[in-house]
Amino acid sequence: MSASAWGRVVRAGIVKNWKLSITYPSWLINRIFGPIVWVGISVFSYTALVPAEDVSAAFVREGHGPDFVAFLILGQTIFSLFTNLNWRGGMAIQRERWQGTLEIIMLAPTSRVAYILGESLFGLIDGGWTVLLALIVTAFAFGADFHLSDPLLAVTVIALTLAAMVALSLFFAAFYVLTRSAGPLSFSIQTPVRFFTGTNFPVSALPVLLQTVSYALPMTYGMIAVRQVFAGSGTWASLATTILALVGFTVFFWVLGVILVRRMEDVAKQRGTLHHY
Amino acid sequence: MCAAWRTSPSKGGRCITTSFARTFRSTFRASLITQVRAYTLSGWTVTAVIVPIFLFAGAWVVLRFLDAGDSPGRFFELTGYPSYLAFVVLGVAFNGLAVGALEDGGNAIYEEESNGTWDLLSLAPFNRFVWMFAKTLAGLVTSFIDFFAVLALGAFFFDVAPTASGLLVALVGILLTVLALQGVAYVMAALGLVWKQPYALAFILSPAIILLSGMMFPVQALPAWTHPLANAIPLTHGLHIVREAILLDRGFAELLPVFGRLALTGAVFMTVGFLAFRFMETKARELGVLGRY
Repeated sequence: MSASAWGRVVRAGIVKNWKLSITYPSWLINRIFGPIVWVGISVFSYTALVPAEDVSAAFVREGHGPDFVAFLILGQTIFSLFTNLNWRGGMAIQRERWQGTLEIIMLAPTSRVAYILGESLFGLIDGGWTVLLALIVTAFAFGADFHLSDPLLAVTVIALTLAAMVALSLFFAAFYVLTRSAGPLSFSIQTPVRFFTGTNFPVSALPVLLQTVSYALPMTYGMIAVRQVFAGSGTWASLATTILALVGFTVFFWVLGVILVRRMEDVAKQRGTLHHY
Repeated sequence: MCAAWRTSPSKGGRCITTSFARTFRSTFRASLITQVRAYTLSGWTVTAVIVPIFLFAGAWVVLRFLDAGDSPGRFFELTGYPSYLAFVVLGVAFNGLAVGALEDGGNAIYEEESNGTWDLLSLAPFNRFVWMFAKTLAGLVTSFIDFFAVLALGAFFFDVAPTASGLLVALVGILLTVLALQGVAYVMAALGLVWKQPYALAFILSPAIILLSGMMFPVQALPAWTHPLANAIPLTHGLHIVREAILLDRGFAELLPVFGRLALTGAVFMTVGFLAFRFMETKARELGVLGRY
């Protein structure tokens, strides 16, 4: 399939989702409002236990800056982007199944990977600006302080974090459908992912055994990198391993995703039961 | 003929009651079967177990991370409860009831709309509120099961062991909360009638209710301007009753004012939901959007 055909499929996915998005504007309010409230829940969950100074001291003890609000906002930002991609890219095929259009998609002479990529990229565009808006609102509301010392490094780590999560959503898209439990799976992984990636606390606060799970998830590295860059403490040298890990995850999940999407197509053709749900 | 109760005033009360009972029974039965079938799908059963476990675990890690003991200073000052984790266990147990109330009301209508049966139902001569009550109550039955399952999990992991009298007070509190949440479900259904996409609305309100009702942290920790909002939610009072009864063994007499606030907020939501549903249904008919979703 040529690059221009790929581009057309990706663009079609973005346009289709844009039209759906403006047809149901209530979801837009949800995307803006949700991350703001979740940051509030995280902040108050700490300050209801001990005074803010003690919370800051605990973060400093674990090797982070004293600005725990910034830590929580950035964690929620990455997590919200993940949930967007999980829903848009990860659930792309399942949505077609629900809507009864899966067979048409499967028969179309096009790349299934390009189709999922279009859905994921729309998730990034659509989720990206709403999450950014939530970040700005919560930073003002809760008084977070960001120190961006190297803009190029910031762009790099954000781009790599998003690339790894897009690749993960490609993997999820096929994995969810093959397991035939797309709805429950996509919903139930959110709480464990929030827990293991350290959205609300440093990963180092977890027992060592559980940290191994954390470091098997690309979002953990994304959060570490983004937090360091926006705290002004991250440098190319200090984040070299994290950046490499993000590149590795992107390649790994992309390859695995492509293999699983092909497997899903084979299953669809051989068994003829893919549309069952 | 009871079916003709609208046009037979002489047969009055008895026929209306029988008609209501029939509507309730058939709707409740059908909805309960659907709920139980969905609930017992392996994927959703796993979800029902995984989500609370990780919510408990998150609270445990935060406590460990802050290194401030079982009942950290500020938390104890605000609540007087001996254990933060027990507090969270009870909050998480209520999460299913809250989500159920938010989703089931709107979903009751959305389900019919997307199945193409809402136009027919809205033409049928039965009481819409009895139908809605039966449908959402069936939804809350599974949330009720979730509540006790989460409580059992919490008791197992974090030693939440209520006394018999505390449990009785808590049970009454839970039942009243479930009834009060029916009012919330009516409001959600009313909004879903015209606004459509009730899930979007439920997803917006779900974190807001977690924030305001004190599910994960005491309401007193919120800024003062949010307190009237928190007090307007029946769940806040339901949670308060259950926590006071189970964690501090408070009796009915001590919790009477809280029971009063729960009954009042529940009644307000019921009335608002009732009126809003009537208004929105009329509006949807006028706009010709009954079957749209």
